[in-house]
Amino acid sequence: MTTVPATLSVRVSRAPAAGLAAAALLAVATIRLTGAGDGAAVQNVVLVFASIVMEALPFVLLGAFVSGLIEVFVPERWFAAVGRLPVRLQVPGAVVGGMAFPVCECGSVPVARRLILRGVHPAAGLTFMLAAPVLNPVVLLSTFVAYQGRDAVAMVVGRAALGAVVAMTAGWALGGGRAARLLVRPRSGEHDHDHDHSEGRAAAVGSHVAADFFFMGRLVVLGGALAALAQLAVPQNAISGVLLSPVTGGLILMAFAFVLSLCSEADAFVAVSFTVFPLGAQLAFLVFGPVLDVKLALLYGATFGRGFVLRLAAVAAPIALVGSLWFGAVVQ
Amino acid sequence: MNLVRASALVAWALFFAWLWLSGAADRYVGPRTAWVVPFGILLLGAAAVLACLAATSRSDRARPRDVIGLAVLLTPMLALVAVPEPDLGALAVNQRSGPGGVPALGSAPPPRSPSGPLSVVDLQEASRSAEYALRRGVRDGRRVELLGFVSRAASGAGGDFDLARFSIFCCAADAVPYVARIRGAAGAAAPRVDAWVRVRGIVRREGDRFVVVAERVTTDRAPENPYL
Repeated sequence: MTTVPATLSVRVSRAPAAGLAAAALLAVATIRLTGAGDGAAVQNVVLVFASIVMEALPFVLLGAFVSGLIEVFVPERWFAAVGRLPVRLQVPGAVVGGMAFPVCECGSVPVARRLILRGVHPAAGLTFMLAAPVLNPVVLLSTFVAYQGRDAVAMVVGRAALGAVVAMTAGWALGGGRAARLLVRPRSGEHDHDHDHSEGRAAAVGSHVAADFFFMGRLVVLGGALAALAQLAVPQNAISGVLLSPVTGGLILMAFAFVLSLCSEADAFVAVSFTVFPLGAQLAFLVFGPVLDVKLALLYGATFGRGFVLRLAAVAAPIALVGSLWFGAVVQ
Repeated sequence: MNLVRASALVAWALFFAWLWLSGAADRYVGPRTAWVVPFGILLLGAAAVLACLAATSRSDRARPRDVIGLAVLLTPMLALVAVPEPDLGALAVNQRSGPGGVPALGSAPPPRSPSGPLSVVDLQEASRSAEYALRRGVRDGRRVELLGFVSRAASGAGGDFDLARFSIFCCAADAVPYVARIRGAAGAAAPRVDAWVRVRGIVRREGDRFVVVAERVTTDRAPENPYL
C-alpha cells in the first residue's frame, strides 16, 4: 500500500468513480421516470431491504468499534496470556465473554476476527462469535419481555443453554486448526493492515473502525438484498397446509430465520408471534437465526471462507433442531 | 482509501439523521427497535469523525475496488431515492396470509388500549377470540371508523372488499398483516387494490367472524406511519 504522508492528497481513479456515479444516477432517473418503482414487488423488496440494513448497520459498527478498541488499546501481553491457556478453558471463557458483549450477530464477527488475529485460539474466537449474539443480557432481556405470560423463564433459559451448546460445539468442531487456516487472507490493502499507530490512537481506532465497517457493511447490504429477494420468492403462505409436526415446525422456522435475517436483539418479538408453531420450533428460530442467516452467510464467507458456512450449518442446524425438540417435549 | 471509507460513514450518518428528523424511520423499523436510529446516528457520527481524523493523518491511494465498495454501501440510499416511501401492500398481504386471511405464521397482536378506537387488528383478533372481542368491545352494532388499504378489491360497485393494515415488531421484514372484510356501501365505487380508504360503518357478526357493513367509503392519504 502506497502512503502519502500528512497531506490530504488522495488519488482516486476518476474514470471508474465517474462511471459508477453516472450509472447510479441513470438507474435512479430511469426508475423514477418510468414508474418501475411503483410495482408492488419492487416496493416490497426495497422496503424489506432497507429495513434489514438499517437495523443491522449500527450493530456492525458497534462490533467494529469494539474490534478497533481491542486492536489499539488491549496490550499484546494480554492476548499472549490468553493464548497460553488450554483450549478447554478458552472455549467456556469465550461463552462467558459473550455474555458481556451487547452486540448482535453482525457485530460479533469483526470482534471474533480481531481476537483470533491477536492470538486467541480459533475455537474460542468462534465460540465467542456464536455465543455473544444469543447470550448477551440485552437479548436475554428482550426474550423475557417478548414471552412474558408465555413460559418466559423457560424460553430464556432454553435460548441461553441451547445457544451455548451450539456455540461451543461449533467452536470446537470448526476452530480446531490454526488461525491462518481459518481466516481468509485479506487482499493487499483491504481490511486488514499493520498499524504502528504512529498517527495517534484516535486515528488508529478510526482507521480500524472504518476498515471493518467498509468490509462488513458491504456484505450486510448484499445480504439484506438477498434476504429481501428471498422473502419475495418464498412467501410465508407456502407453509399453509404443511403438517406442522415439531420436526417440520422447527425446520420451517429455522429456514425462515435464515431468510428473515433479523437481529437477535429483537427477534424474540417476531418469534412469539409465530403462534401457529409449537414453542420448541420458536426456540429453534431464536437459536439458529443468530448463528446463520443470509447476511451472516456472506459475512462468514468473506471472513472464514465459503466452506465455513456449509460446515457451520452442518453442525449448528442438527443441534438446534434436536435441542429444540427436547425443549418442546420438556416444556409442553 | 481512508477518505473513501470516511465518506461512506459520513453519508450513512447523514442518512440516519435524516431518517430520524423526518420521521421516515417509522416506515422501516418498529417501535421496539426505533432506538436503533438515534443509536446509529451517535455511532456513525463518532465513527465518521474518527475516520476523517485517520484520513487526514494518513492518506493513501484508493483503488477502483474501493469505489465499487462505496457504491455497494450506498445502494440502500440510492434505492430509496429511486423508490421513495415504499409500501407493503396487497401483494405482501397475500404472501403473508394463510387460509381465511389470518397471518400464515400466526400472530401476536400489538398491544391495544382497552378503550381506544377499534382498528382492523381488533376485528381480526376478535374473530378468533371471544375473550378478545369482549375485552375490546367488538360487538354487533358498534360503529367504527377504519383506515387501511384495499388488499382484495370488490368485483363491482358496492361489492365486498378486504381492508388491511400491517403491524411490525422489529422491522418491515417481519410485518404481519391484519385484514377485515368490508361489506361495500350500496352504489359506492369499488376502491382499487392498494388504495388507502377510510371506512365508516357498523360491525356485524357473521358466524364466527366480525365484518363491517360500510355506510361510507372515502379515499384517504396513507398515514405517515403506515403500521399499527
